[in-house]
Amino acid sequence: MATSKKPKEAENKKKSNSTPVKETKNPIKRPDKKASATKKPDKSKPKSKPKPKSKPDNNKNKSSNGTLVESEVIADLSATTESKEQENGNKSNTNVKPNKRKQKEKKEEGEEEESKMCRFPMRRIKRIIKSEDSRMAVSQDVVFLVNKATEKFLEEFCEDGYKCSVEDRKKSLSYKHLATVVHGQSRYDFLSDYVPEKIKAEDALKETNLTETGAG
Amino acid sequence: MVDEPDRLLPIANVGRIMKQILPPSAKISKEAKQTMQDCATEFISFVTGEASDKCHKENRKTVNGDDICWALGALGLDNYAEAIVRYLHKYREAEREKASSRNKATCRSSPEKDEKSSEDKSGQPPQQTEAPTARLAS
Repeated sequence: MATSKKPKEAENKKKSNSTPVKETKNPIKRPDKKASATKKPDKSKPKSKPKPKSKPDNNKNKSSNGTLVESEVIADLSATTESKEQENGNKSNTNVKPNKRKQKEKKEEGEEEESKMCRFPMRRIKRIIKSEDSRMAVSQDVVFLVNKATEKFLEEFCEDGYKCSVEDRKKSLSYKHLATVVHGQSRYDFLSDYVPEKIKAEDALKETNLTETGAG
Repeated sequence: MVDEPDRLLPIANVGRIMKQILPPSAKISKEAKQTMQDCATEFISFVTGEASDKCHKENRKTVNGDDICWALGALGLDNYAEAIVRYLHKYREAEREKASSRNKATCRSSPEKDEKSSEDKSGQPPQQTEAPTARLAS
C-alpha cells in the first residue's frame, strides 16, 4: 500500500511543479527586490494598485538599471499572464495597464531625481516666493536655484552658529549663539529683526531710562 | 489666509541639514531649529524680492535663474553666487538631456520624424533651453 502511494505523491509533486510557473521565476525577482530596496521604490508602490500580483511593477521601478530588467519584466509579464489566465478569465486589461504604469513611473523617477537633488519641497518654496510677489512669474530653474541657495545658506549659518557654541563651551546649539552670529557678521544684517539678541528686562529698563533722561 | 506652517520651510528638512553639518555629538535646541526655519524663509524672500525688483525695473514678467545669481551677488552673498551659477549650468544641461531623450522617445514611434528631428536638432538647442522657462511660468 505504501508503495502505491508513492507514485501518486510523485504525480502530485509533478503537478505542483507544473502549475506554479511563478515559483520558477520568482527567485529571479528576489534579487531585483533587493536592488529596489536601495533605490526607494516605495513611493511608487502606493500609487500602483495594491495587488499581490503587482510584482512585475516592482521590477518596473528598477528600469533605471537598464535593459536587462526590461527583459525580465517581459518574461515575468508573460508568466503572470499565464498564471492569471489559469486563475481568472479577464487578463487582457492587465497588459494595457503596465504601459501606463511605466509612463507614470518614468515621471516619478524624474521627480525623484529632482527631489534627490533638492532638499526642500519645490511647492513650498514656490509658495514662499509667491507670497513675496504674487504678480511675478517664476520659472522652475529659479525654484531649483533658490532651493540650493537656501541649503547653502543654512549650512553656513549652522557652521557659524556651532563655532560660537564651541567658543561658549556648550555642546548644544541654542538661540543665543545664532543671535551673536547675526549681530557679529554684516552679511547676516537682513536677519537682525528676526533674530534679536535677548537682554534682561533690567538692562532694557535702564536703557529706556537713560534715553528718557537724555531727552529730558 | 495662509497657514503659518505652510509659510515656512518644513522644520524636519531644516533639522536634517543641521544634523548633517554638525558633529554627531552636537545637540540642537528646539528654539534654534525654529529660528533657522524662520531665517531660511526670510532668506528666500530676501533674495527673490531683490530679483523681482530687478525684473520690474527692466519691465520683465518672469524671474529667471540669472536674476537669482545677480541678486545673490548684489546682496553681498558672493559665496553662494558662484556655486549657484554652477548649479544653474548643470540644471540647464540636465534639462537639455531630458528634452533630447523625450524627443527620441517620440521619434521612435514615427520613423519619418526621426529624419526631420535629426536635421532640426542642430539648430534647436537654444530654443530648448527657453522652453522650460516658458512652460512653467505660473
